[in-house]
Amino acid sequence: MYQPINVVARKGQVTIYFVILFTIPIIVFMSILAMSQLGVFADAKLQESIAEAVRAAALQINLESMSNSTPEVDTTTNNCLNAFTSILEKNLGLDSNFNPLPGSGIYSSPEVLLVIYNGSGRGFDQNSDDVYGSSFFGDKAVKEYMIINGDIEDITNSNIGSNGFSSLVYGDNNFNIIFNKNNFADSIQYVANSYPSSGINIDMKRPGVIAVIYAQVRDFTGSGYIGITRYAASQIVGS
Amino acid sequence: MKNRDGQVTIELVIAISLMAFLIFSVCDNFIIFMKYLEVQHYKFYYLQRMRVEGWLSSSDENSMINQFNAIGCPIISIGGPEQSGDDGDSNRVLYDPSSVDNSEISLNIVCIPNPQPFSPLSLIGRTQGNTIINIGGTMLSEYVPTN
Repeated sequence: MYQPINVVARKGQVTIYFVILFTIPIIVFMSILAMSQLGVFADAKLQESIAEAVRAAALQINLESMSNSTPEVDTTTNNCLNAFTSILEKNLGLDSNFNPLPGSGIYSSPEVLLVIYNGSGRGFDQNSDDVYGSSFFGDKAVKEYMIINGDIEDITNSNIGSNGFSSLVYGDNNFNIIFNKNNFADSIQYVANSYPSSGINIDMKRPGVIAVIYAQVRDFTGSGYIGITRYAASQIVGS
Repeated sequence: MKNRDGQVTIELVIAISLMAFLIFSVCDNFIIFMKYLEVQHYKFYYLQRMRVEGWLSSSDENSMINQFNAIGCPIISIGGPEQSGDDGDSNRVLYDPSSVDNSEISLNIVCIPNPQPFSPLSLIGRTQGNTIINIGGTMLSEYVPTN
């Protein structure tokens, strides 16, 4: 018997099957690729790179302070900054201007905040407003650098808030950095808003280095990117 | 009617085949990503040890090769200061407080995932070279000679 209505209905059914059967796997496929790549770069690459860069920076110890058994990160030379940028460039595949080299998973020049902290109690009076008071060797207890598009800017004396530290709000909420004096310990409290939204606190009980990086990582299409923020801190032990 | 029923069946077979192919591709890519992640972590682990020892010791080299074999990514080349190198102790990278460049220690590893990921181009007879994983990293050596 001729049943045209049923035939039309079946054809529509097949079309819907097609759409569903193709769309769902493709969405799953793209999601898994995106998540996998994000995991690889965020955890395996960016986090390890920034961790090694701050470790290298904290390794640049002032030799005079070392001989006095009170090791501090050397802020009298650019060794600390050079070590940080050199290790970061090599591990992320960047050139000397912080631009991604061919084959790098980084989409554009990353933005970095670097804090060198020597406020370990020597000359660091927490009850004083002068948190930049001289440390043991007469240098500033804290130095801060911002690296944007490969340009390194010393922001130590910029935007100093009532807490005495540089308070920086940068870009489209990539960084919103606030330094607070910790009232309970010989340390500073460090808060980076927007990552995560509640902020993070790092107690620096010894001299060391903190860095926050915002990088745009290429997505699997190659033409887009995913923004990732990571931080790392390294302290000198044994002082 | 019979002809149209057959059409539906063929369409379904094609759709299911393509879906199976896509799911296979997802799994295949996911495995490669996971292998890449795993070898990155291994590289980081051994680079950390090199940072302390100033080179890749022979025992670490052997255990690294075994671990890469165990996850199906046999190593085809290792770049970096190795204890097994020809120059003996001079291979070692020492901590130089006066020079960042002199203290840099690197490890580069090239390995081949086994089995190789599926290449869609092979369906049309195109041959490609082996897919390799090439990873590397740089740190500052902290090794100080004790004598």
